[in-house]
Order: sequence, then structure tokens, then C-alpha cells
Amino acid sequence: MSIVNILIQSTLVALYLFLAICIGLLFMGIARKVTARIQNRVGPPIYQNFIDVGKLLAKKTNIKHNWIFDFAPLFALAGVLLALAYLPMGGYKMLSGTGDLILLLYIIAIPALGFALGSGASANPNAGVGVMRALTLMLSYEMPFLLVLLALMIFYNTASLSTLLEKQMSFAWGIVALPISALAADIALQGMMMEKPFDIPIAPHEIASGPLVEFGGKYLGMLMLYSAGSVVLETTLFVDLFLGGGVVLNPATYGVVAYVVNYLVWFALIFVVWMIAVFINAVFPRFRIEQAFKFYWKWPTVIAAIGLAQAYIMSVFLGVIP
Amino acid sequence: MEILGIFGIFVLVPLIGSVIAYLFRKYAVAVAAIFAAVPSIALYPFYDTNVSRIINIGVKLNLTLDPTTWFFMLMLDTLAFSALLFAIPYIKKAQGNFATLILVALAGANGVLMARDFLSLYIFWEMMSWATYLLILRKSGEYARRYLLFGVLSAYFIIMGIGIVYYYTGSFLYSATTGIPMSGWFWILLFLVLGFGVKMAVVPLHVWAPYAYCAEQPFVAFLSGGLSKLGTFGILMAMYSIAGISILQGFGTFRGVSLFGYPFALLGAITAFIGTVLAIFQDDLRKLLAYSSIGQLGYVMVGLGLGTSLALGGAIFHAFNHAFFKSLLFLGAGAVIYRTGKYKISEMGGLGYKMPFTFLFVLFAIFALAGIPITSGFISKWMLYEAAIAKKFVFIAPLMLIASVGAFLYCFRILYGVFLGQLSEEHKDVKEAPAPMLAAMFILMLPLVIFSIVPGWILGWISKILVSMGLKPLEYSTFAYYSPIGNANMLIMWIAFMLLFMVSMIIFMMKKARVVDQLDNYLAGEAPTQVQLHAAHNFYKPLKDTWAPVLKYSINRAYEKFSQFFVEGFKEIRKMYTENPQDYAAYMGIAFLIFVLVGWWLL
Amino acid sequence: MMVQPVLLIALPLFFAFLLPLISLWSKKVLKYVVMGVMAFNAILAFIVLIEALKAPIFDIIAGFQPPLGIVLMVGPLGAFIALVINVAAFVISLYSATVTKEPLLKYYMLSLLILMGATGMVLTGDLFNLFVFLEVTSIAAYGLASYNKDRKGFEGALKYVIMGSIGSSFVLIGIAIIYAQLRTLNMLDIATRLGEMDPYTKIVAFVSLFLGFGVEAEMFPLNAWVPETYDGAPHPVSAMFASMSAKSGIFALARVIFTIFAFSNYLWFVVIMGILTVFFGEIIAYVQKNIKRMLAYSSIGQMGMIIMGLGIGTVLSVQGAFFQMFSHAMGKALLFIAAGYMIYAAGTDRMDKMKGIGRNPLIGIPLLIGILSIMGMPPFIGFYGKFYILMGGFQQGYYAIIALFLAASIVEVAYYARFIKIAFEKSERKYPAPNIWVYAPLIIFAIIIVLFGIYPKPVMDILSHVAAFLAGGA
Repeated sequence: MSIVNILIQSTLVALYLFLAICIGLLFMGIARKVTARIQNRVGPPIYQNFIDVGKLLAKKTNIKHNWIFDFAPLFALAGVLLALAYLPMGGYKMLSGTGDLILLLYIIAIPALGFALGSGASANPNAGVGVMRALTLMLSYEMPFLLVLLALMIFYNTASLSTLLEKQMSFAWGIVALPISALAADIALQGMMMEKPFDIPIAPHEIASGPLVEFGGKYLGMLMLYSAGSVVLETTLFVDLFLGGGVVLNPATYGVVAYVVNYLVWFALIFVVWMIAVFINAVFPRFRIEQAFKFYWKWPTVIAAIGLAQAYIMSVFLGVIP
Repeated sequence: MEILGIFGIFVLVPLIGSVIAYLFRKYAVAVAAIFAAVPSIALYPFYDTNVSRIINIGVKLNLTLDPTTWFFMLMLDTLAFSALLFAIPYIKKAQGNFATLILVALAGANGVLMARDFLSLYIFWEMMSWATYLLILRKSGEYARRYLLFGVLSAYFIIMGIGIVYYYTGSFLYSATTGIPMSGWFWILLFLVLGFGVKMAVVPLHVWAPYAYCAEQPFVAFLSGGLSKLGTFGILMAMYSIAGISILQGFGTFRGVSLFGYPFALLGAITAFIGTVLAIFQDDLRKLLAYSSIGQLGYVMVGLGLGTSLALGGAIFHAFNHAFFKSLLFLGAGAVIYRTGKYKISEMGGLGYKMPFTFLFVLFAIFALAGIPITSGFISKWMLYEAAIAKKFVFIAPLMLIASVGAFLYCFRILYGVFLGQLSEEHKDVKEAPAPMLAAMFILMLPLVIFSIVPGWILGWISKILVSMGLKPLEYSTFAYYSPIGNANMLIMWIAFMLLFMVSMIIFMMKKARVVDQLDNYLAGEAPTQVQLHAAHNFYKPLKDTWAPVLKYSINRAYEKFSQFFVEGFKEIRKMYTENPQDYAAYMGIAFLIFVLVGWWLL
Repeated sequence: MMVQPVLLIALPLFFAFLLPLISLWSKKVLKYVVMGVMAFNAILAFIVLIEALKAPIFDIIAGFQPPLGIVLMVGPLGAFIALVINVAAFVISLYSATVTKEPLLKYYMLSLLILMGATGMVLTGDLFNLFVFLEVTSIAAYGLASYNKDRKGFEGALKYVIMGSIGSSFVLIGIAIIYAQLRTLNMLDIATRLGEMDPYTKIVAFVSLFLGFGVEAEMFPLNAWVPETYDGAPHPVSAMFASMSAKSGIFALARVIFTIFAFSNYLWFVVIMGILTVFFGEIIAYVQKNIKRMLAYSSIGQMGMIIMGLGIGTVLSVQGAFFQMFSHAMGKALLFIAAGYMIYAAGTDRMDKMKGIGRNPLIGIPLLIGILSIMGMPPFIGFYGKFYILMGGFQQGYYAIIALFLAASIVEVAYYARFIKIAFEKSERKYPAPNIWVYAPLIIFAIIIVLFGIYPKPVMDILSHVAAFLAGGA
């Protein structure tokens, strides 16, 4: 790869990442509007989150408790961008050729850990409780989610996301091949995105937004960017895993047109996934954390296990090789 | 030294050092650190060589220093040196004992690594074992006793294994194991793996570990990081060097994995899971780390059991990583305990503000433990996962994966409970750990970072080990590594991370921030006194409540009941000695009759 | 320099009867005289060992032919055990200096006699003399066992007398049967003409001798006297019993099995006796609260291990058994001396009252070395014996027995670890510091244990003669 090529690729990745953050902010705005309409309110305009971020980042007074506090915005934003960079978006592989699903899985932990560190560094007990809930929730939803990932990796016999997309394109989308796993994954996704009924860690009425409690100004602004990135990250993850990443045209034959079309399809798909989460969020009350744990380790896990069994049987006994 | 060669440098120097250090009394640990440094430095000329020597002390000790030994020795000797360096300020009482025993344990460990016959293996193994026992004894007799019982159990398993080899071959040499039938191999390997497995604290033989790891922290760092790797080394040698892959395959295979190894891999995955779950609920920092150690070594066991190139390479690499990050964690815990005198996580808090360097080192260790990709801890876990997934093992892989998620939970417990959160009033004046401690921790942190950027170096060493055992080499380049189903390039990841970090740094630097007091908080309407608490007591209570029905079963209690049963029996047997001479005379007559009758009957 | 092995027996005997004369001159000098004699005897034993390593020594004393004369048959192994006994005797005699109770004269006379008897049992090549020396040893031992003149001492001694005399009678019966059939008492002679004996009678003779010496060798179930006698006797005497009379008894047993009867097809029976001895010894030791009793039962366990080693009967295991005799003589003597000090310092023999007694390094370090050696940890001498016995067992394929043995060993480790735990526990209590007569023997034993543990080559060289011994040699 020549230097020029690398530069072009990096610029493209940067563009995609910038767009992803923007999409995230937009989605959050849409979610607020949609939720408001469902609850028969007017709601803010959908660009409200852009304004919020801009205002927060421009604030003159910013306070912090100590130097570890800075970890939160730095690691959270950098980490979520890094994770996004490893996700194919609309058929564009980004970096996913040089790192597979397992790497991605652990990169996703970087922003979360940084966020947890920063919020833990405040002396506010609410923050500690919030992180505890977040981690417990993570342990809860990861159980079905990991089984789902395993089913995919076993069935498609690859851990690489870009290969997974190619195989989905040539064989069948994950949701067609492994519908049971897709169901489990979507339930897990609700927890991963911390939408109701699983918004336990950030429960504003119980623990004053939990981990976020001590952040303000540029800290909160950057963390909002992180949240926006997370929305895209999580929805894209689902789309990449089960909906073929939105790839409908093969870039090898259609060139730039394929990228544009795929991007639009991908956008539509993540929007659909996001809307499902938002709808559920709008109508459900909140679980307690132990209920969430019990719930996730019960039904979604069973569903995911059935999905895994299906993948296993198809791959090992029936010899279906995508 | 030339006369005795590798025996002199790696066994005799620490042994002689142990005697000399004892005489220095107040400076014993410092002197011992120098003696421990000798073998760690002397190791470098031996890179990629193959030196053998036979020492005759009445029994012949066959010693060899080959790449496998070199790799493990690099790890152990560095750890021993760091632990002793750390111990210079830490150990205040009876320095002589400590220094002596650590050096004896080091000599024993080096001997185990170099031994190429079972007799010397056993000699050095036991030497290491009792030195460990005495070191734990410094802290608590009861803990030491539990350790010793399991240590001896392990030794006797090994003896059974050795004995069966001896029955078939009449020789103690590793290389003389030809002509043993498969049934013999089964028992040999079973006993050896169980014996070494005790040292690796594989469930259900793990109950000694949480007690033993409560001893003095620098030693525990060496025990958990270093000496437990001897179990790894032992299993590696037993299964892949002494028996060899063809014999393992001879037990039958399941998708290319030996049927002998598979149950142990499964056991390892279960160990990883149980260790992790128990670690989440501990409040004693040392016990938390102990259970975490059990869990992490479970991963290693998985790799050893699966035995494909990728899995075995992952196991060796993970053992290496675990050696460094777990020692670092124990040393970090030691530094905190040294400064505060507390063991309970819930009684600490906020120390990261006062001990920033210790916090940073521990943070790195925790990144490695949790498998965050900016440390080498990720790579070994990656290899193990991919090895299991590539072979489509649907029980092992999810257990490992979920255990690793659980690891996040207890990792954060350490970070938050000890270093973050509220700094309590009594710890207002805590100072940063002394310089030797920081130096020791820094040494341990280095490989974790270096090998995450340049995994090719260490993968090259590991690959050499695998090739010497007749397995396929690993697929790797300087910065990237590959499995049948995936790949990862660390250089690209690092560069991308650095660039993106700079991006967020730029956004961050645009505005300045002001530092306020830790209690200047958003209180959500609570009275300020209400929030003056460090929310670390019973941290995962909701989770604990949901696990309660399972947690009430304890393997430890089962052992205690078991031993209680036997002690009752012993008391009954004791009644046979009635203290009445007439009975004794009668015993004698009966014995005479039985002997004569049996003798005649046999004629 | 050629040294007559008979000096080893004659010297203690001579001085034993010279002691009353010396005591007329000065009572204080007695202990130094005894130490000197024993040291000199140990040096003699060393020279004899060097001689015997070249070729076995056969010595007929004063020209009398057997059975009247004393025939000595000193092979390398016999000389080795004699050296072990003499060295142990010398070091224990240092500790004997702490005995202050009168009549000291008798104490020293008896201790010289027990040395003479034990050495004689090892060196003699004549069955009847073996009996005579056994009696000398036993009678001296009875006297020493009751030396404290308290209830415990008398009770222990009485039981010892009962068991010992039954044992001696068995030996006598065995000898009588053999003599009646073969008209000879020379061991090698008996061995060559064994075929002439009626097989049924032969078994009775073997069993009689086996059981007779089994009493001294602490074999199950003839060892019931051991705990009480060891407990009741003065502390140095317990050490003597463990390292001298028991060792001579077990060597006599080895002589009976290998030199005289050269049995091989009944050896599994000996193995079973050995494993039973180990098993009961270790198990009962676990429930003891009294330190000397615990050590006594542990001693039984160790002797059982030696019997097992003899019974397994391969070169390796018999080497192990002899090594174990050596290591047990050193280790157990050390422990009994340490126990003696502890009982004195703590003022009680109950282990749970001895918290923190080992924290004085002068006691603690030798104590740990002794215990680790007895447990069979390398690089202490206790390891090689145990390991060789086990490997010998594996050679013969006695897997189940070895597994049982190892289980018993874990019990052993458990009770010693419990003792260590108490001895090294933190405690406020101050104990009197040991004087030189206590820590000097401890340190000497500890040095021997470590030295030969790290470099066992000299011992291994001597034990390479085991093959010849098994083949019916000296």
C-alpha cells in the first residue's frame, strides 16, 4: 500500500467516523421526538442534541475533581471512535480487515472502562452505584449476546466482520439463516443500548443519572458524543451481524455507486433497529438490576442457546457451509 | 561457575545466596535481590541455545536449558527479582527468613524448569513447595497447613505418575519413555496433570489458593505469578514433550483435539468461570486477586487441554501475561496494604489520587487482565478464544467468554474500591509507595506494553517452543497474528487509537477545567453528610443476591467435612491401643498364629 | 590402619564398667568421659566402615569357634548402620548432659550398654550372639525407660518389659528351632544349609525371629509399648530408642529376612505388615495431643516404611530402606531432643500449650529441618529413602499399596503441619532460651540432615553394596 493510498483510506475513515457521530446525534434527537409523540408530548426539535453538544463544549466553566476524571471523556470518545473504525459501515470495511470480531468486542470495552474510571473518580456514591449497575447489566446481556456471536462465528466459520459480510452477501443474511439468534441478539441489544426496561445504570430518578452525575461542561459534551457514537456502534453491530451490513450491491462490480447505495441501505437498516429500541423504550417501565440479570440469564439465554444449537447442527451435522 | 554451568548459575547461585543473605540480617532482602538478579541477567546469553549438563550428587540430575525452559525461566527470574526489589521496603520483620526462602524457592523453580528427568524434577519441585510453605507460615500457620496438604497431594500425584513411568521403563529420564502402552500413558498423564494442576489451582483442587495468597504480598506476587506457572510448565512438558502429540492423539480425537485433553480443557473453562464468579464477590483484596488468579489459570488450562498450535501458543502466552499482570496486581495491592495497613476493599478508596504511579501500574495490569487490546493480555485471550471457536467447541468458548466479561466486574471493583471513589479522612496523608516498589512494578509493566505493540517477538519464542514439541508453528508477523478464522494487527490498532486519542485530546484541550474538592458534589437533594460514604461495601449485592442459591455450596466446606469424617475415624482406630499390656500380649500371640498359619497355607 | 570391629563393642563395655571407678574420683567428669568414649567409638566406626567398604570383615574373637566365640560379620551396610548408631549416640550424649537427676552413674552406664548392645546386634554374624546383644540392649533400655521413677516411666517400662521379653522369647525359640535342625548358629552357614530344614518348621522359625525382632523394630501389632515407653522415658532416652535400639532391631530384621532366610516368595507379607504399621502409626499419631507420643507414633510409621522397603525387596527399595534408617535415626533423634526442650520450656507435654516455641531460630530452624526431613522433602535426607522405597514398590507393581502409603503420608504431613502451626504461632509467652547442650546436638543433626541431603553421594556409594547384601552376603 502506498502512502497516498493510506492517506486516502485514513481520510475516508475519518469521514465515516464523523458521519457516524452526526448520525448518532441525529438518532438521539429523533428518539426524543418519537418518544415525546408516543407519550403525547411535543418534544424538542430533532437537531436539539447538536445544539446541546455545541453548548456544552463551548462552556467556559468546567470543573473536575482530579486528574483521573479526565480519563472519562478522553477514553470514551477515542474508544468509541476506534470501535466504530473497526465496524464496516454500508459495505465500507474501514479497519475491519485488520482486526476481527473478538478484537472489536474488546475495543468496545475501552470507552466503557474509561467512562467508568472517570465517573468512579468522583466521590459521589451515585456514580459508583451507577457503574456497578452498568457492569452487572453488561454481565447480564453479554450471556445471550456472546452465545449469539458464537452461533454466527460457528455457522459462518469466521471471526472477521468483513468476511462475515461477504459470506452474508453470497449466502444469506444472518437473520434469515439464524433467526432465533437474531431475536436473542435484539433483546440483548436493548440492554446494550441501556434503553428501557434496561436503563438501570443511568436511572435519573434513583441515582441522579448514575455515572454521569458529576460531569458537566466539556466533559458532558464529549460524553454525549460518546453516547452518539455508541448508538451507531450498537445498531451497526446488529446490522453487520444479521442484516448483511446493508450490503445490497457488490462493490466489486458496481464501484462507487455500490458504496453510496449500500450506505443508504445501511442507514435505513440502523434506523429501523434504532426505532425498534426506541419504541420499546417508550412504553416500558424500568427493571431492577437483579430482575434484569435474572431476565437475561433466563429467556434470552435460552433463545440464544437454541440459536447456537441450530447453528451448530446446521454447520456440523448438516454440513451447511456458507 | 564454568564447571557447574547452568546448574551453578541457576540453582547454586540462589541457594548460596540464600545462606549469605540470611547472614546480612537487616539488609537480607536487598542482598537477596542481587542474587536473584544474577540468574535473570545470566539468562540472556542462553537465548536460543540448547545446553545440557548432568550433575551427580549421588543421584544424577539431568539438566537442560532449551528455548522452552528459557522462556519460562525468563518469566520466573524476572518476577523473583521484582518481588525481592519490592520487598526491600515491604518486609520489616525477620528479613533473613524471607530472603532465604524466596531464593530457595527460586532455585527450586529454576531446577524444575531445567530438569529433564523425573527424579530431579521431584527434588526441585518439593524444594520449591516447602519453601513456599514456610513463606506462607510467616503469615499464618493454618493457611500454610492448607497449602502444604495440597502441595503434598500434588507431589504424591506426581510420584504416582513418575512411579508408573518407572515401572514401564526403569528409568527416570524424560527421553526414555518409549514402549509404554496406552493404558500406562493414560494413568501417567492423568496423575501428572492432576499433580501439576494442583499448583495451577484447577477447580476442584483450588481451595488452597485463596488462603495461600493472603501471605506477604511480594511473595504472593511471586507465588501466583511465578510458581503457579510451574504447574503450567509441568503439564506442558508432560503432555506435549514427554508424551507428545502423537500419544495424545492416540487416545482418540474429537475434531483434532485429543480426547484426553478435552476434559481438561473443559475443566479449565469451568475453572475460569468459577474463579471469576467467586472473585466478583470478595471484599478482601488478596482473596479477590486469588480467585481471579484461579480463573485466569483456568484459561491457560483450556489451552493446554486443547493442544492445537493456536491454543497451546495462547496458553503459554497467557501464562506469560498472567505472570506479569497478576504479579503487578499483587504488588500494587502490596503497595496499598503497605501504606494503609488495610486489606478490605471497602475500607480503602480514593488512594489513586494519593498514589498516582501505583494506580497507573495497577491500571495497566488490569487492562491486561481484562484483555483490553492496548496490552498484551488481549492477544493471549484472543488466541485461546479463536482456538476454541475455530474448533467449534460450544461449551468451552462461551464459558471462557462470559468469564472474561465477569473479569470486568472484579477489575472495576479493584479500581473503584481501592483507587477511586471517596478518599476517607484517615487516608488523607497517605504517600506514594517508596521508589523500590515503584521500580519493581515498572519492570513488570514493561513486557505487557511492549508485547502488545510487537507481539511478533514473543510469538516467535512461543512458536519455537511449539515446533520443538512437534506442533505446527504459529502464524504471525511482527505486528499481526492470525488464526484460521480471523486476524488482528496491533500496529494499525495502536496507530488508529493514538490518532483518535489525539482527536479527543484536541476537543478536550479547547477549554480549561478547574479542580474542586472531592465532596463538592451534586447531591440530588441528599444531605451532604449522607453522601460522605465510599460506595464499595458489598459492591455487587444485587448480583450476589441472585447468585445466592448457588453460592451456598462451597468446595472448601466439602473438604472440611471430608477431613472431619476421617479424623473421627482415626479416633476410633486409636482405641485399638488400649494401654493394657494383656491386650498387647494377645495381639502378639494372634499375630504369631496368623503368620504361621498363613505361611503353612501358602506352602 | 586396621581396626578390629570388636573394639566397637569392647570399648563401650569396658568403659561402662570403668565408670563406677571414675565416679569415685569425680562425678562431674562422667558425662565428658561418656561423650569422649562415644565420639571415639564413632570415629572407630567410621574407620571400620572404610575397611568394610573394601571387603566385608569376618572376625572370630579369641579363637573360640561358634557358638562359644563371638563371630563378627561386618559388611558395608552393617558398618554403615553401626556408624549411624554411634554418631547418633554421640550427639545424643551431648544432650544427655541436661539430665541432672541422680543416679547419673547408672544412667551413663546404661547408655553405654545400650550403645554396646545396639552396635553388637548390627555387627554380629552369629544368631545366638544376636540374641545376647538384643538382651543387653533391651535390659539396658528397660532400665533407662523407668529412669524417671515416676508413674509414666514405670508404666511405660513395664509394658516394654512385657513386650520385650515376649519378643526375646520368640527370638530364642526361633534360634532353638534352627539350632535343633541345623546344628549351627552362624548366619552364613544357616543360609547355605537352609534347604535341609523342614519347610513347616522353617516357617515357624522364621515367624518367631521375625516377630521377635519386630518388637524392637516397632512393627504392627507388636509396637504397642512404643508410645508409652517413649513418653515415660527421659528425653535423651527417647531419642536413643528411636535412633539406636529401633535401628538395630530393624537391621536384625533385615538380617533375618535376607541373610538368613533369603526369602523372596513371602516378601509381600512383609510389605503388608509394613503398610499396616505405617497406616496405624500415622493415623494414631494424628489424634495425639502429647508431643512425645505423637513423635513415637510417627516413629512407628517411619519404621513401617522401612519394613515395607525391606519387604519390597528390590535393590532400589532396600537401598531406600537403609537410607531411611539413616535419615530416621538423625531426624527423629533431632525431633525428640527438640521435643525434650519444648516440654522443659513449656512445662507441659501438651502440644497446644506450646504456642510460639519455635520462634527462637536456634530451635525453630533445626525443628523445621527435622520435620521436613521426616516428611520426606528434598533436599533433606528423608527424601531419598522414601522416594527409593516407593520407586522400588513401583518396580514391583504394588500400586495399591503405594497409594495407601501415600494417603498415610498425607496424614503424617497433616499432623506435623499442625504441630508447626502451633510451634510458630505468634505468642506473648516467653520461653527460656536453650543452652548449648540443647542446641548443639540439634544443630549437628540439622547439619547432617542438610549436608547429606544436598550431597547424598557418599551414602549412595555405600548403599550400592545392597545388591550383594540381598544376594545373601554380609
